[in-house]
Amino acid sequence: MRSRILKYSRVAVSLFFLTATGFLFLDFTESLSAGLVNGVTWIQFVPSLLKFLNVLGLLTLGFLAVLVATLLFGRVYCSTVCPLGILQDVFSRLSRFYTVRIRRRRPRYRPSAPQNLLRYSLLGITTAAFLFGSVFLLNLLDPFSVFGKIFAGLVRPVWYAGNNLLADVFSSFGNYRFYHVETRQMTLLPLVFPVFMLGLVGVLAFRRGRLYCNTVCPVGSLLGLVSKYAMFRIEIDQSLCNRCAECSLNCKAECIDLKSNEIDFTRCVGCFNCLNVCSRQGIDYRNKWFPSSRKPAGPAVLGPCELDQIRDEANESARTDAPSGTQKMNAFRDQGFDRRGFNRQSFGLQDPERRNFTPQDPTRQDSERRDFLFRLTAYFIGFSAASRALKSSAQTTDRRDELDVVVTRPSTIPEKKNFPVSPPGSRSLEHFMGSCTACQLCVSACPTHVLQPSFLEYGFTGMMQPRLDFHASFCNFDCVRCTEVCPTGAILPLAVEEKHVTQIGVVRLELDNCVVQTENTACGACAEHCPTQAVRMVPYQDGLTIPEIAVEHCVGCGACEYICPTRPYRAIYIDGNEIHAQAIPPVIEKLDFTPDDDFPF
Amino acid sequence: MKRRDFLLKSVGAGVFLGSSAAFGGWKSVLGADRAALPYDLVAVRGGSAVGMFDKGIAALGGMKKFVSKGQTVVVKPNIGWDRPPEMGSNTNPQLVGRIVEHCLEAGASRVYVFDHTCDEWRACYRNSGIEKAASDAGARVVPANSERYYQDVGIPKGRRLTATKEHELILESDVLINVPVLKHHGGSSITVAMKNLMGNVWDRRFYHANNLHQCITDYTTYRTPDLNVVDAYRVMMRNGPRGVSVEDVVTMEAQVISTDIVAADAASSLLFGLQPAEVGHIRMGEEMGVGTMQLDNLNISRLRM
Repeated sequence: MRSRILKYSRVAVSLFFLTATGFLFLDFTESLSAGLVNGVTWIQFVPSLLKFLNVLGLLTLGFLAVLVATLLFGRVYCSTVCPLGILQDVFSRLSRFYTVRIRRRRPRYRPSAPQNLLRYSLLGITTAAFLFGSVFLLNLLDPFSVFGKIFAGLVRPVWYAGNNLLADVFSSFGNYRFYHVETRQMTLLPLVFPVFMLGLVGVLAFRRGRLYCNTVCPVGSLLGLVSKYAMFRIEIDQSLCNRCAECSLNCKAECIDLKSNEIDFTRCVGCFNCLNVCSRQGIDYRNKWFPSSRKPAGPAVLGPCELDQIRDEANESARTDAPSGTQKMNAFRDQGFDRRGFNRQSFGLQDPERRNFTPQDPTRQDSERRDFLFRLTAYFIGFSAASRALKSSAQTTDRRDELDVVVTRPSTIPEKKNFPVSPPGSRSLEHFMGSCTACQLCVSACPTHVLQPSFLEYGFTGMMQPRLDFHASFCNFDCVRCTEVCPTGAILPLAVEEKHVTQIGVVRLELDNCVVQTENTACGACAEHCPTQAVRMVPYQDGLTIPEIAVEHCVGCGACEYICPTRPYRAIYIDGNEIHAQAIPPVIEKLDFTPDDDFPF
Repeated sequence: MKRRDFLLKSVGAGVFLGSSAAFGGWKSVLGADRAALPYDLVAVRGGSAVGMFDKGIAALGGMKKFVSKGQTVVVKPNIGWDRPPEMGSNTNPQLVGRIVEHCLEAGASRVYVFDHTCDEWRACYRNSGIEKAASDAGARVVPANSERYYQDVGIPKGRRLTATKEHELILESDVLINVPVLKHHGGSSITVAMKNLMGNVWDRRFYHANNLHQCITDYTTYRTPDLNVVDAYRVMMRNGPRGVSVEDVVTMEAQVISTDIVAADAASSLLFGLQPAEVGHIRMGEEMGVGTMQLDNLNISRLRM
């Protein structure tokens, strides 16, 4: 089974998934139905697995499909469906442009040893943490969620800005086809992590192809274990291979080792680039379970044993700081062999990569790894320490508050909120925080932009899990968009009628902050916006009315808090419910009024 | 007119509008025919919102009295809430559509419809039925959801609201037709024509924080609509302005049409069952000379279908 069509289909499918998944995080017009959104996210491994555990049912079996596909064809998921993987391919592609056009060198990847300790530790820790009920590491490492954080957090604002520019241009010609849209994000702090991940993924992909997928990504490691036993695997045909090393040099996963003639299929992401660059069909994608009969492999073009011996010696000597091995290797190269043992000159070819041979120093590699881990740890420790300090000042750093309103007299009583407000359908903070990988899909889909990535409202381990930010906006009474699109089941589906009686938080009123009392003027903004009359205006003095709350009717939509004009503290606000409760629907009385059909003037 | 022209215009807007107001108000700048109107106020009862408008505007001499050929018009309904038409939270969509048709028949070059909504604006536009009704009638239903659509204006006669940001199309257009719905309002007793103009401005919180009634009135000293059409076909009698259920709504089958925004509000408050002086901004409107709530002194046409 070998055909150029494999690579081209892979590219086509991957571009479809990158575009579709990317669009999910950018679209603000609700142009995709919930069914379409779920269709795209259905096959994302971690979200699907979580949804399966939360909801059960056939519509959540995407992860199983991924496992089966991996068992049949290897990690094709990583090159076709996984948006973060495809994003890395984009970076790799850019790096090819850079190396070919700017540095005037050919694109090169070098086979490298697997980072087994790191990748399986990360997989193990992530799995263990998940079994103990924490999705924190999935939040940090799940590729779909990382992609979502990058797209919703960093690409979406750019997309919005482009749209707004277009809207400006069109409206200056009197055309209002496009309209302005804002993310309404109050603080940039939650973006620290997506920036870090974009940097990490981008740099690794630019320099080392899919190293991230084969070192950090727990889904990659898990699927790698499965793909080891895959039905179709890529292998080198000894009889046809002339050891030109094109496959190895073009392998983004750096997993084709010509020294041992082995392909580390646990790391192969199924991009099929190797098949296309081979001029002799010396590398093939074959059914290993039911192999077709073939003639036995012939001898290799050039036995690698001698070379290996020399190279091992070179490595050894480098370790002991003796230059003789290197000299030997250079001498070997001067005879026209490259370091893979392929004598290009004897085939009448020029060595395209004639450089001084510097053997990879394994001690250096080790110290790099230690350094990386050390920095990563330092980052997290520093981050959590800084976050604690910032959390205390978070209430006063609302930049929108400063822009918005000039108040006659500042309010005095601070708001007392015990819990953040989690989205309707998330049932309880425990359920939500235990299932949400903070992929930001609901944040992108929320029409009012009340859903915002949290910073530390859910604690450090809940970083970026969305919360309702009533300083940004409020939850539309009749909208259940977030419950429809959530790919993990952290937000469970909710019918509109159910949502009308789901209490996600409860209203608190501080009359000492209220302008009706402090200024003796009419307001009523809170009651005006309340969809359930949990806030009503009751007679006060001088013909004025003042808010009164009935907490049992409150659903916690936050409209009152959003519109309340007092600053710095609002007179009315929502405290989150740790466990979502049932609200009592507003009492509907018969209206005792028959309109007079005469003119009262 | 282009956006850049606006930027220039907004610089001088306060001066221009202040001086024009000093020479007898906005109407003197625009409406040559206004003095020739047969009635100060037309009230209609007992029909559909569309039918009552057709009859009422005919009594005033037709839309041609207000819209000349080639003029641009803003029709400003209440689209504040994501509620269906039967809730009476927003202006009757058929009425909005019919007014748009009248404007176009009178020769308007463009008719814009928008509101700075309270609920999410696209849901409001869609579920109120106004977006469809107005665009089917030939209007351009435009966004008002971002501060970018608003321009700084000065309000020289304002007591609390002395400057605000107004939608660019209000500044740009020749004619403003205010089409509020009459309904209960927890904060300001009722909301009719004067309060509906809050949807022209960007910062509504400022109103609430700085004496709501005064700010509502202050804005009308700067800009009174060329025509007010109060939709009182369905009237929300309690739990306003959003409403809880259709039980809050009565079918009153009434409409009030007037160029005097205070008189329109006064007549509407009587329909609602309140004395005009009980409503802060109607009382202040009379005090500040925006219009009159003394309906006895007005030439009123009372029509029945």
